[in-house]
This record gives sequence, C-alpha cells and structure tokens, in this order.
Amino acid sequence: MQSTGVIAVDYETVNDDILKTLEPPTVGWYLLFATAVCCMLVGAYCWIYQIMHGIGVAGISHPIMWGVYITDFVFWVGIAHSGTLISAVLFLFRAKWRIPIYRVAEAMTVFAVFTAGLFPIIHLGRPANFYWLLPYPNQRYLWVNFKSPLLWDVFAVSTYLTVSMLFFITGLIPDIAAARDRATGLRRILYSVTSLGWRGTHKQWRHYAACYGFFAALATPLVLSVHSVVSWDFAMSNVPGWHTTIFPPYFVAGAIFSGLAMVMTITIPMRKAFELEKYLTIWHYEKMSQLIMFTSGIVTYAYVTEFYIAWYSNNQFEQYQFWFRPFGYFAPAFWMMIFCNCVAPLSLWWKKCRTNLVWLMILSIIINIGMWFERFNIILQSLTVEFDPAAWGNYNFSWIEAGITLGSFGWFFCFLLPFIKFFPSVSITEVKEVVEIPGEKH
Amino acid sequence: MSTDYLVTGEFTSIEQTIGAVKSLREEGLDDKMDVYSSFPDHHLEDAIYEGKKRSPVRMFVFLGGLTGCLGAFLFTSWMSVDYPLRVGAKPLISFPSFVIIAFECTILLGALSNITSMFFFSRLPNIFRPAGYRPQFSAGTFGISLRVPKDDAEDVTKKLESYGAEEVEAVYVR
Repeated sequence: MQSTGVIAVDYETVNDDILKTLEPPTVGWYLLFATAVCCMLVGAYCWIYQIMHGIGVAGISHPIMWGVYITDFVFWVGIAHSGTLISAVLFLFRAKWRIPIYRVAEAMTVFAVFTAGLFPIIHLGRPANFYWLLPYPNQRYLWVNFKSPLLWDVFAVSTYLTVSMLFFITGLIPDIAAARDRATGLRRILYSVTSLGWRGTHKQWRHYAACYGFFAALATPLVLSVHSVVSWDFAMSNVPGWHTTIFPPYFVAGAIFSGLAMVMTITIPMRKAFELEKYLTIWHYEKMSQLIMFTSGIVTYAYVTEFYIAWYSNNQFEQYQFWFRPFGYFAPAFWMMIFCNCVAPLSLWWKKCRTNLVWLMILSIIINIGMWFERFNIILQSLTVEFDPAAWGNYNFSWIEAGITLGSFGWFFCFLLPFIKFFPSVSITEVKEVVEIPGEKH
Repeated sequence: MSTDYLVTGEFTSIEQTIGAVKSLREEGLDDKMDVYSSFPDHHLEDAIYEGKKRSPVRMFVFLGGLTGCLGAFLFTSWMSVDYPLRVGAKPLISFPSFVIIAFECTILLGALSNITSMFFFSRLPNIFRPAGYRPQFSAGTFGISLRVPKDDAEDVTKKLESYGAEEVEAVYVR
C-alpha cells in the first residue's frame, strides 16, 4: 500500500518510532555537527575580518553595490518559503502528503530566516547600527521612509520570522508533551518546561485546533507577500533587468522551487538515518517531485518572458541586459542557472526518476545551486551593465564573501542538527490523525 | 469544603471514547468531564461540542488583525507628517505604500493575539498536573475524567466500566 502513502500503524507505535529519533546521537551526527560548527567559525572569522578592515574587503564596489550578500539573503529567504507552503498552504488544502514532512520543513523555514536575516546586517558598513531600520522614537525625531521597498522588506521579513516561529512552536507543543511523558532526567525538565504543561484535554484541543487553523490562514497570504516584497527591492527600482512586473510571482515560484529541493536534501538522509521509511514513503517524495516539476515550469516560463519582454519593449538598455546575460562575461552563471533550474528537473517527467531517492538527492542539490545562480544573475548581471557604458563595471568575488556564504550553511545546520535530536522532527500528533490502525476501520 | 472525587477511566479505542462521551452527554454529566486524547479528532470533537459555541479564539484574531491594520495606517501617516521626507514628488501620506506595512502588521498582530488567546483559554503555561492525567494519554490511549460528589463516585466508576473503560480509578480531590 506504499504507493498511496497510507501509514498503517497504531498510535503507540507512532510515539515509539518518532520518539526514537531523540535517542543519543551517533558518530555520524557528531561528525556532521562538527563540520557545521567549523563552517560557521570560518564565516564568523570572515565577518570579524570584514568588520575590522571595512566593507571594502568584500567584492562589492561601484557599480555593483549589491553582491553576494544580497544574493545569499534572497537565497535563504527563498529556502524558507516552502516550509510555510507545506505547513500552511497545504494544510488549508488538506493535502495529506504534507504531514510527515511539515515539521522539518517548518524548522527549515525558521532557521533559514535566521540565516537570511543576518545578511542585510553583514552587508551594512556599520552593522551595529542595524536598528536604524526600525521606526523607534529617537532624540532627533527622525522616522524611517515608509515609501522605501527596503523598509517594507524589514517589516515583511521580521513579521515572517515572528509568525513562522510562533506557528512552529504551536505545532510542537503537543509533541513535546508526548516526549515529556517518556523522558527522564534533564530531558524531562527540558520537555516539561517547553511543553508548557500541555495535557491534551478536550478544552485545550478545541482552542488549539482553532488557533492552528488561523495560523495557517494568516501564514498563507504572508508567505506569498514576503517574497513579493523581497522582489520589490529590485522591481521598484529602474535598473534594466530589475524593473519588471513579473517579479513577485516569479520570485514566489522560485522560492517554493528551491525550498522544496532543500526539504528533499534534508529529509532523504534523515529518513535513512532515523529509519522513518514507514512514515516518509516514496509516495511523499513523488508528490514533492511533482510540485518541483510545476514550479520549475513556472520559473522557466518567467525566464522566457523576461527575454521576450526585453525584445518587445524596444528599450535598448533592457535589450542589452538580456543580451549580456547569456553572452556577457557572466555567461557561465546564466547557463548554469538554465541547466540546473530548467533542464535537470525535466528528468522528473519520468516516474523512475521521481521515485529514485538517490537521483532526487542529487537533483535537489543541483536545484539549490541553480537557484543561487538565479539570484546571482538577477542581482549582479543587472548591476554590471546598467545605462551608461562609462559606468559599467566588473565584480571581484572575494574570499570573504565565499567564507561568509559557507558560514551561513554552517550556521543553518548548527540550528537544524540539534533540533532534530532534541525535538520530534516528524509531527506525532498529525501522523496520528491519518494513520490507519491495523485491523480497524476508522 | 466539598468532598469531590475524580473518576478517571482509560479507553483504548476512539470509537469507545466517542460512545462514552455521547452517553455521558445524554446523562448531563458533560460539564464535569475532561476528555484526554493525544491528537485532535473531528468525530470526538463533534461528539463533545455538538450544538455548543465555537472557540472564542477567532474573535481575538480578528481584533488583533484589525488593531494591526488600523494602527499601521495611523503610525505610518503620523510619522510621515512628523518627519516629512519628500520622495519622488509623492504626497507625504501615500496610502499605496503604507498598505504593505499595514498588511504585515495585520498578520503580525493577528498571529500574536491568536497565540496569546489560545494560551489564555487553554490555561497555558500550566505548572500543575491534573489529578486525572496519565502519561499514556499522550501515547495511545484516551481518557475520560469526571468530577463527582463522593456518593456518586462508585456509580460513575461502574458507568465508565460499562462503556468499556479500563483501569478506572477514583481519587479524592479538593
């Protein structure tokens, strides 16, 4: 019955299997965690170096004032999106395949926004003054400019971080209570505190169910708005290659595309390590693959539209920009993007590829590389050749930026790896709602 | 000082639990009842709440969202006038760009009041462990607790057993 994603176990076994993931970590986990910490330290070193020597050590200089940091920012915000899509949008659509993956996808969302939030601060010349972005009462009676898309972004990303964190915590409470009732020693104290004394009475479930539904209803428009606002950081300006109305849907589709790939990158090894094959079946991966095919199609369509509109607009700056992308000196980045985001996902049209986890793992990494290059193309290529040829420039990718990018992956996994060892990474509560008890008709 | 007893029984299947809840409602014992389950089940919820009012959380989400929306329009307008920044020959108070701030604040305050009201109505965080609670209730079994006067305790115990409850226990509570 694996093909339809039926989970045939009884309630007690669900607890046993999922709480087994909280057992003391193996050597493999320690190795991964050590690698993540090392990567994070490299990033920390690079950032300290940049603070001490000034922002000039990064590759950004006129005319390319937005470089790899903003690329990383958009990349990580994009990664975050599919978590909310899976936990909120698919919840409203009652898609059953979301159930075993949504917890880890939500964790990924929260930690990816943690990571993304660092980049605008790293990008600042004076990172200590980041709070100037917020409208707070100050001595000089200055207020922020509410007409600036960058300020909209501050509101959008901070709201997104808060709401997705609260949503994540709400979902976790009953599961932590289940972990609490089995734990001993220090863990019992940890779970007793974090479960907030949840007992699962009918009165609690009644408000909980309402609260959960409203969170999903609030998070659904939010997730669509956040990447739209991020895209307006670009689309609201008049830079050729940025100033297009297609950006919001194009960015949202791209975000979901890359996020789903990241969910696969995380869950495929996790499923194997934690023996969760019963819960995360091939059927679930096939569903994710189909959504990847769909969003890959939207992204490809958006690429084609950009070229068509550049030609149709008869605007020479726009036309030159779109000649420059495939044939200019950043051409390898463009073709990399086309291969990773448009060509490689075509393999999913074959069922054999959709159900082969090794291929899905490889493909998900390819897609993530492709989506990083998409943002690279949008941001750097557009700034390289703007209007006046005398003001064109080139970009020197510096080791500081490479180090901080590597560090961001380390930082992300420094949150994710302890999370899957301390808290249930598959929702016990929601799995129980869909299990079919052997020998019983529900 | 009342001398109440808390009678708690454990059920292994959800059908039995639903049956027991229905019977207890018929006998009018449902306001003294606590039903424990490890996950929310629609049939169980319908059996408990049929014909009763819906959770008041929705009202607070609406109020929070409304406050966020109106508040954001007010503070953006006020701040734009208090410190005038003339950008792109636009009016100082340009609603289209404030809509985005207002939208985000609607969601933010809606979500905050959502979780706060849920915590308030579900009595969370709660450091006390209810007398009827058993760790198995978060694993696989379902529980029904009834708070009854001392004289009825034996009666209710038998009743729960007749509905299929196992390990029925009556404890003295204040």
